[in-house]
Amino acid sequence: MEDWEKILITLLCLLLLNYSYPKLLDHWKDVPDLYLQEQSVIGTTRKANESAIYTSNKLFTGLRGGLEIRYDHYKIRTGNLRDIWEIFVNQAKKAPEPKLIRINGETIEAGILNAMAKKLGSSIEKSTSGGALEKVYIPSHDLFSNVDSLVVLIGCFITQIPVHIGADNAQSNENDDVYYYDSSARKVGPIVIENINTPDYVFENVYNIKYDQGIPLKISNRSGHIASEISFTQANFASAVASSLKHLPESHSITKDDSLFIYHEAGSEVNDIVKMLTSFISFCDLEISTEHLETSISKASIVSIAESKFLATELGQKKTTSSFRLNRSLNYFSKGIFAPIIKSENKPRIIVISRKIGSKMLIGPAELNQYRSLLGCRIIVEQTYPNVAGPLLLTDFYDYRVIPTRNINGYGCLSQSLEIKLVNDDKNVNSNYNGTYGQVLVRGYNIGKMAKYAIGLPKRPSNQIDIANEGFMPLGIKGKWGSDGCLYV
Amino acid sequence: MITITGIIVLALIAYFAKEFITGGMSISNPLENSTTDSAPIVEGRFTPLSLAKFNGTDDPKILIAVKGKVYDVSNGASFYGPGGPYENFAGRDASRGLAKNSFELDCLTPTDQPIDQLKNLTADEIESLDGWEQHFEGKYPLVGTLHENGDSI
Repeated sequence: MEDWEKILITLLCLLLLNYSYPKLLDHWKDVPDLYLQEQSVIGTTRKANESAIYTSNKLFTGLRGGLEIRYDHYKIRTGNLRDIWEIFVNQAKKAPEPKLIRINGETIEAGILNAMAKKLGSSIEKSTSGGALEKVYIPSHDLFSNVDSLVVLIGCFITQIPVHIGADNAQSNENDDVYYYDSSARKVGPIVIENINTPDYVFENVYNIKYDQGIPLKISNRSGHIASEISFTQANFASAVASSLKHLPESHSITKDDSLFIYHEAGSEVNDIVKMLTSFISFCDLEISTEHLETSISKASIVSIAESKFLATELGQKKTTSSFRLNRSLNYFSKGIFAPIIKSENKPRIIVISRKIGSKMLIGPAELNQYRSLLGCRIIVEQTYPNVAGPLLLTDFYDYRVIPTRNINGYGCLSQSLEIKLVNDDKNVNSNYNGTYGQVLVRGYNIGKMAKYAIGLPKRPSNQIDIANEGFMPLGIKGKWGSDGCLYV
Repeated sequence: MITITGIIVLALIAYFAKEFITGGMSISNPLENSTTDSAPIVEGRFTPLSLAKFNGTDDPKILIAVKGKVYDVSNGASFYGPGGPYENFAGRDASRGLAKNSFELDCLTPTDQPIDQLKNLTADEIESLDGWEQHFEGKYPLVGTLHENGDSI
C-alpha cells in the first residue's frame, strides 16, 4: 500500500468518526436537547414592567388542578383527601400481601390503619356532635413520630376534621375549641386512640361536594412575637399530589414495586404529607422517619430528603473511585447522557433532594452529576416555599446539565400546579426592561393561604394576593428566567 | 508495515484522544442566551403602523384589532395566519371586514391612514361586529388598544 493511500484511509476514518460520533452521542441522550431548552410554556404577551406568565411544558390544557377523578359516568372532579384514602384502601384490599407502613421504626398494616383511623375519626365526631370542634392540634415534633400520629392525621383527613400542626408554644394563647394530640397518653382531646387487631379494608366514599371543601390542614409557626398560620385546602393537596405524580416520566413513574423513604424534618410538614399522599395513590411501600435510618435509606427505591440531611447520609458521602472513569461519566452526564459508573439494581433509583427556595445551594449541578454517577440513580432537586403544597420549582428528571451557579441559589422548572411571572421592582421606569428578571410572583392551585399576626392580636390574611395583579402572590425573592424556561433564583 | 486494520485502530485512538482532550464537560448557561424571536409582546398601545408587523410573517405572532382593542390571535394561526381564510386581517384593524363579513382587502383601511371610525355601518353590521368582539374577548387575550399613527405610545 502506498503512503498516500494510508494517509487517505486515515483521513477518511477520522472524517467518518467526526461525523458519526456526535450522532451516536445524540442517540444516547435520554431526551433531545430541545426538551431541556423549552421547559416552560411562555405566555405570548407581557405587561410593560413584567415578564410573560410561565407555566410547565408538561401540561396540555391548563394547570394541573387535581386528580381528575371520573364520576357520574362522564364528569371529572379534582378529588380530595377521602378519594386518595379510598384509592389506597381499595388497592390494599386487592394486594396479595398485607401492605405495611413504617413510621419511625413502628409498623402498621394498611387495614389496621384504616380501622383505627375510622374509629378515631368517628369517636371525635361523636364527642363533638353537640358543639363545634375547630381542629385537632398535633405538635410538630409529634408528627410522624409514631404510628399513632399517622392514625390521627388520617382519621382527621377522612372525617374532615381540620388538623393543625404547630410548634409547641405557638398555641399558648389559643382559646378555641381544640383537641390536642397527646402522644404519651395516646389521646386526642378526651378520645383515647384504641388499638384494633382486625384489619378493615372497607372505606365507603360516596362523593359529596362538601368533601372538596374546607381546610384539612393548618400549619403554624412562630418567630419572636410574630406568628404565622398557613391554611391548606383539599384542592391544594389534590393538585400538589397530581403534579408530583405527573412530574416523573411515564417509564419511570412510581409504582407499587417502589418503596418510598421520607426523611421528615420540622418545616417540611406539608411537603412530606404531599409525598405520603402520593405514595398512597401509587401504592408503593412507605416509610417515614424523623431519625437518620441508614439501612432504610439504602433499601428504599425512592428517597425524599432535605439537602442538608442528605449530605450527612452515607449516600451523601463522596466515594473515591477511578478519576478517569468518573470524568468520562461526568462528561457524558453534562451532554445529557445518563452514564453512571455504578450500574445495577442498586438502590435508590431516585433521590428527591429538597431545599427552601432562596436558601444557599449546598450541592451544585456538577456535584449532583457526581452523585448520579457514583450512586447510579436519578436526582431531582425541589425548591419549596412555606405556603406552597409540594415544590415550587424542581429540576427535570432528565436534567443533568452543568450550569454555572455563580449568583444563583437554585433553579428548576415550574410545578405543574402553578404559574409564575416576574415583576421588575426597579423604581426607575426602565424602557429597556426585557421581561426576564424581577420579583417572583406566583399563582396556582397548590398555594395555601397565610395569615401573619402579632401574638395576642387578631389574625389577618397576609398572602398579599393583589386582586389588581390578577391574584398573583409575591414571594419576596428575586428571580431570572433562563432561555430554557427554568426559573433561576 | 502498517495494515489497514492498524490504520483504522490508529485513527480511532487519535480521534478519541482528541475527544478526551477537547471534548470535556459541556457547560450550559441558559442565563446568557436570550431568545428574541419569540419574545412576548408587551401589552399596551398600538398604532396601525406598529400593529402591521404582527401578521404571522414579519413576526410569528398574530395580532388583530377589533373596535379599538388589540387581540393576540396567534393561537388561531390556522384562521388568521398565512394561508388561513382570515389572513388579510392579520396585523390590521379588522373591524369593518368583520362587520360586513367580508375578507376583501378593500374593507381594510391602509395602515398609513387614520383609523376607521366605522361610520355608515348598518344596524345588522354593527350587531355582527359586536358578536365578533364578544367572540374575540372570550377566546383570545387582549394585549392592548389601537391609537392613531403619531399618538404617543
